[in-house]
Amino acid sequence: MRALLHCLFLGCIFLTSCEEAFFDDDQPDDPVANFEFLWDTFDERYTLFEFKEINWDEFYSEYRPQVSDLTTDDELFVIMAEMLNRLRDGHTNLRSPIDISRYRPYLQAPPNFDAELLERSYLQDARLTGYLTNEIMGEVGYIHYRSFQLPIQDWELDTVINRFTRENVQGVIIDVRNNGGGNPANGLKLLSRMIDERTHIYTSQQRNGPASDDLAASQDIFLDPESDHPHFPGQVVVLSNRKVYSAGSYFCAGTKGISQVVMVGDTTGGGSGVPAGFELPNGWYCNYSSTLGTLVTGENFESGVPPDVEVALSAEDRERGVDTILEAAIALIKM
Amino acid sequence: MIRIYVVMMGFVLGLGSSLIAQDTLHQRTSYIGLSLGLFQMKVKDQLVMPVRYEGANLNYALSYTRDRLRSTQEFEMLLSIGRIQAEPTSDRDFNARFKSPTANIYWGTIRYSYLHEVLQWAEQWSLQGGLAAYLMINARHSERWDNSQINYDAALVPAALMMQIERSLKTRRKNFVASFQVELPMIAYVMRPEFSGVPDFLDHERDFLSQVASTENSGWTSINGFPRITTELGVTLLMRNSNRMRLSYGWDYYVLQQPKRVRYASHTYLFTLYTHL
Repeated sequence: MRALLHCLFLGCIFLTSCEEAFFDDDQPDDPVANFEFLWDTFDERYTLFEFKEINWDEFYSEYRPQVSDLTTDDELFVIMAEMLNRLRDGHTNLRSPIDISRYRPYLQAPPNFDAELLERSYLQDARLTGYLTNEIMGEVGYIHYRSFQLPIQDWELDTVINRFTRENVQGVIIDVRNNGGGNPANGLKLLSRMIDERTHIYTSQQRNGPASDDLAASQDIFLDPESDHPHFPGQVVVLSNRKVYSAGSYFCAGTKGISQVVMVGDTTGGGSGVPAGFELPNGWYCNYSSTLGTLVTGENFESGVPPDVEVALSAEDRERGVDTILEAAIALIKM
Repeated sequence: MIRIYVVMMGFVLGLGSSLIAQDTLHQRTSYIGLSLGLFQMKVKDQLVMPVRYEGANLNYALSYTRDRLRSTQEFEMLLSIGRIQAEPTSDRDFNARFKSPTANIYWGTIRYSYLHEVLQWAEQWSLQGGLAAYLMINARHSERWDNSQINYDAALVPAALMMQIERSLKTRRKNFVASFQVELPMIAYVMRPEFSGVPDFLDHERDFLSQVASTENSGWTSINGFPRITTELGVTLLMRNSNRMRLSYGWDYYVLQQPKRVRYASHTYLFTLYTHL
């Protein structure tokens, strides 16, 4: 018996002292290993290769030879960032102490928004209720919401809507131009004040395995109306431009499921893939799109949510201090 | 670590010639135990971190033990909250603005165990067998992981096999009991994040807590899907006022494969004071 116990104890000592052997070797932290890890992880997890018609293997052939053991951190970052930016995805970025890589689709598009013009010509007496800049323009209520990162409280929304209702506005403009995203829940708060019944607002699909066709079942996302709080009175018009991204695009996507809402302006910047992330062996951090997002009509809105009425801010109007897109929305409500 | 085993092994195997055996541990009584110790954790979850995170933090435990002549029941809650960090932080220049690879850990276990004496020999030796059931949560949180900032593995184990060997020891003035315990889960409901590591926050009708146990990577598994070994070496001092003090060293190791491999090991050094009820 004692011999058996000795064996047992010695076995435990062996197990404990061999703990290191049970752990996988850590990924080596050299330029080539970091590049390989980045490429492999995207290969396994990125959801939008097919939608974007990207051959990821070709990227490897092009960029891998640029990396060697002599590549510096600066050089490695530039190579990786260039490769990732070619995915044309604002939710894909590489974060390092040197720099943060990011793709900005709006830089190639007309701005269609001028904050200075808006403030001088339309918002001189505007109220700031929480983060909701609001004004009554004749018979139209107007809200500008600049970031979905800024939380909307029910009480603030009630206050703004009650003001519009008291003033008998014919409709409400919700201006999300230049809103780069944040928490989609803030968009849902706005949308829930626009619907009278449970409404399908968009569809999402997650990648659930390393193979390119490892996709979970599509999931339709529904929203219930906010029954204990006031709703927007009259017609609702949402203003957008190419700088509207991520949660901003999800908000605009949600309006496509609501028939009484009209979207005016430019196509949003997209960003339908929910960003997920991972670390590289060198401690840098990388985000990537992990889901597919589609409108109620079935189109993937990674490249943007198209407006119902396309209007651009003209140079002539801008010179005269007129916001073409806002004026189009006002006219639409008054029509 | 090996030294601790060797020293405790000395106690257990009775290599000290002045020790005299006497069984005084199992009486009809109950204890409340309060523990404080050091908890050294290593974890590598390839879902978000390709390198190992390590750290030592305080460990706390509260237990209720009910002893009978031939059996012991114990209900305990163990908790450790602290920080772990990745090895590269030591030799890389992470400036203050770029968050270095560190994470907060929230480790906790609620556990019930029942041990019954199977064999006794030479008066001072006792072999016990039994079962344990527990819920273990091992969560890591780091703001630098953005949307993936909560990373976790958790297991609800309704049946784990236990074996314990005890040896009673007596010096001139003190009575001790040395013990060695091994535990292996037989069946478990394992909880792990989705493949992306991100909770489904687009669907506002599913809150985070409801998703923890219902991802595609959560489900029932046997020992193959959740190989875990937990060992504990301890020495208990039986005090004259019927209270007890215990020093223990525990080693815990497990592997999970979904959605990406997790390897975990911890070393726990615990001091426990048992108050007689």
